[in-house]
Order: sequence, then C-alpha cells, then structure tokens
Amino acid sequence: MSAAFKSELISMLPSLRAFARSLSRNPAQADDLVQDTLVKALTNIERFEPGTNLRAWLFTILRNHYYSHLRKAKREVEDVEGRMAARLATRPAQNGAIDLEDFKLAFAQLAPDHREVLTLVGASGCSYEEAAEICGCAVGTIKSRVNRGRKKLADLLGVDGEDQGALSGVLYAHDTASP
Amino acid sequence: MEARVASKDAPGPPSGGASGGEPPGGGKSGKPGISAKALITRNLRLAYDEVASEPVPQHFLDLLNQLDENKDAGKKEEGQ
Repeated sequence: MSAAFKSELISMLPSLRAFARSLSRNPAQADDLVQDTLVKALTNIERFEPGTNLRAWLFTILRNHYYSHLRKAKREVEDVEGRMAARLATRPAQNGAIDLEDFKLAFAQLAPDHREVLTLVGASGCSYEEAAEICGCAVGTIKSRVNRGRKKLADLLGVDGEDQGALSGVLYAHDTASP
Repeated sequence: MEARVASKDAPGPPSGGASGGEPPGGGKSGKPGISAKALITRNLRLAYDEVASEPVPQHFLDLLNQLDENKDAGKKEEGQ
C-alpha cells in the first residue's frame, strides 16, 4: 500500500466510524465494523481502481459487512429497539425543542435502510448517486427511502413531517393563529 | 417560544469533521418556521459529526500498519 493511499485511508476513518455508528448503534460494535472493513478493504485492495471514489468503496464494504452480520445478530437488535422505544416514549418532544440524545434514540428505531440513506445523504454529504452506488440500488429508491425515513423520524419525534410544518404541534397546532 | 435545537455539548474541535456543517445551535435556530426536514437534517449532522470529530482511536492506525506489513501473509487480525 502506498503511503499516499494509506493516508487517504486514514483520512476516511472519521467518516467510516460515523457511518458505522449510524448502522450499528453499539459504539464498540461500530468500531469492530470499521476494523473489519479495513481488513476487507486491504485484503481486496486490488479491486479498488485508483482514482475512483474511495469513500464510496469503503462505505459499500462496511455496509455489506454490516448486513451480513446483522442477520446473525437480529434478535439482539430487536431487543435494543424495544428498550429504546420504551425510553423514548417517556420523553416526548417539548416545546418543539429536540434534544440530540432524544434524536439519536428516535433515529435508532428506524429500519437500517432508512438509517443508512439518511446518514449518507443527510449527514455524510453523499450525493443521491453515491448513495445509490453504496446501497446497490436505484437513485429513485434512495430518494423515496430518504423521504420515508424522514417522515418516520418526524413521526417518532413528534414534529410535523410536512415541509412547511413547524416544529411539532406545539407551535402550529391550531391552524396558524399567527404568532 | 423558540424553536431551538438543543445540542448538548456540540462537537468541539473542527478537526477532521466530515461534512461542512454549519455551527450547531447557531443563529438560525430561533426561527419559528424551521421545517421538520431542516430540523432532522441538522440533528443528523450533529450526530454524525459528533462521532466524526472524535480522535481516531490508535488501534485503527496500528491495525493499518500491521495490515500493511503483513499484506502478503494474508489477513491476520479478524475483528471478532
């Protein structure tokens, strides 16, 4: 591995970790995922075409590895989701303010295909095309997943999912009796 | 009443942050008409940047070096 490639790889580690954390909600597992991704990437390094999108390549490896691992760990995941739902239910959004920790709990309840597209497109700065490449599906599929994921998240958070809607019913519940 | 996004402790150092995020909890947050979409996007970025701005644990760098050295010997460390 060339020094240049290595440093490029190192520069990808923060976003790989962040992407992994959005998939696997357990931080230690997320880091294991990144570690496995590095091993796989370097084992298959000859499959990477220099000059192409390294981040997308790494994200794809990480994602595929996550899903193959997920099948094994399904039961555990469901258990985590149940507990998170219970916790979130006790802390409804108040006055339209959303605490980041509450947001994370709500986010964690989304299906993995919603979590991944929201993270890729909404946070990591991937284009729809890149996200489609990473997830191995059509751009249109990514777009509709983003919309559905966002809608689900808005529901979970108790904020209005409609575009012009304000934060939650608290602010605009009563047919805009303007402020 | 303010529509604000509480951002506990915003990820501090602007080190290797991923997306060019806007400052968390910034001026825009007082705007009453902020859409759910914008709210969600902001929190997605906050959550993402929180992790992305953490220093990369040393063991990743060690692993990379090791993999580099042992490249021909095949993979040595399996993560689990």
